[in-house]
Amino acid sequence: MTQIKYMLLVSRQGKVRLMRWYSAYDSKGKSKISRELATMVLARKAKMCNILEYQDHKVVYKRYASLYFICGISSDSDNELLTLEVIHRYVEAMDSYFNNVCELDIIFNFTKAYEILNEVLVCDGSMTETSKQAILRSVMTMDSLETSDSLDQVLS
Amino acid sequence: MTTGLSLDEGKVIEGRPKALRDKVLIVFSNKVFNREEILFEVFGVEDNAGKQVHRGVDWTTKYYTVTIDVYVDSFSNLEDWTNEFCDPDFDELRDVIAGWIIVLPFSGNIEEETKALSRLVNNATSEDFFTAILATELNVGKNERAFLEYNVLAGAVELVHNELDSDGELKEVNGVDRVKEIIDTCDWHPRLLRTAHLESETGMESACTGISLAQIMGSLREARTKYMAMDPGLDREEFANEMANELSKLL
Repeated sequence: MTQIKYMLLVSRQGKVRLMRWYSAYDSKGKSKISRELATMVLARKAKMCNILEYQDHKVVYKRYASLYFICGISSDSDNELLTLEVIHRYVEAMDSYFNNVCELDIIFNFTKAYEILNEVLVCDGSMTETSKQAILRSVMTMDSLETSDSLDQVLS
Repeated sequence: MTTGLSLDEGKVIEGRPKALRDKVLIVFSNKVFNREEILFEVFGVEDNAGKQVHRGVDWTTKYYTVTIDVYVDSFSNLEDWTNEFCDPDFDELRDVIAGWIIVLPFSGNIEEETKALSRLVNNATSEDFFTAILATELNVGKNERAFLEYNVLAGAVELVHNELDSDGELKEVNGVDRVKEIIDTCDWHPRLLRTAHLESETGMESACTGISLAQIMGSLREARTKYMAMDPGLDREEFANEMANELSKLL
């Protein structure tokens, strides 16, 4: 089992597009981590190892197109390869939802990106759902509830 | 002391309001021979007799349209150009650009280029604008290339080249397409953006459906009348869901 401390989505331009913290960090710590990791990961070449040591923990990252998915995990108890799988699952779910996801989709639909992430990882950073179909079903249900709620508001 | 609000809902910098960043600077090395082609591919503008400013260029993505000015410049010596661009005299230009793109070939000894680009990375990059280097040629030794990549990438300046990391798994786009993607994801000021939603609010027809806001509002009113006439229950809820889905597609 792996418990992620945080997940960041950083563009190749060094912009943080999404961040979710599963462990307690103060705002200073959060901005330090996101700033330092963005610089460290961006400077790494494609063939370099996707796992690196940072502060008191490990960082696992994977690049998909122009986005880097960066996860902080505990050095002793978490599994790096499993973390890579979690990232991949999340990307696959987004890819199916947005039909070939790109950075622009995440920028303009960041709430959806967070909703999908909430279906993949629970609040302590452990994986809650592995089935892509189940993840998408939940998000679609939320979408239809949202639409119906909006219409209800208009109609009332 | 600075007081008051600027046009940008931010602070007034040195007595002048912060301008909206709606200009893109593209700079070509004199060694680039397909300048017209690149300019046309990226911005859809023609390089008429070395025209330096192309005003009112519409940049459209599936989410928004923004009107920008494209500034075109060229250099024979990158170091001279970099020194000039980093000079405080050019603060005003750096304050209004949404990003810069340098197009140049790298071949042989690139020590001078690397040095100039490092200076550029240290002095003319900001979170406020995008930065990219489009390499039309990357014919250098492994060490030089690694050093160049390290220097520019650490400063979040992208080195874009047609041959770089063309890995299918990454679904990565390269070359001119990546430059376009970088411009797509630029953080444009909301006042510059024209979104499909805003256009429908102002009564313009949706590009995708060709249905005007008036027609959508008409459908909504009809749906409401029918909904109110129905008995409360599952059928009414089902109808509401159906209409919601239909209308959301139109919006």
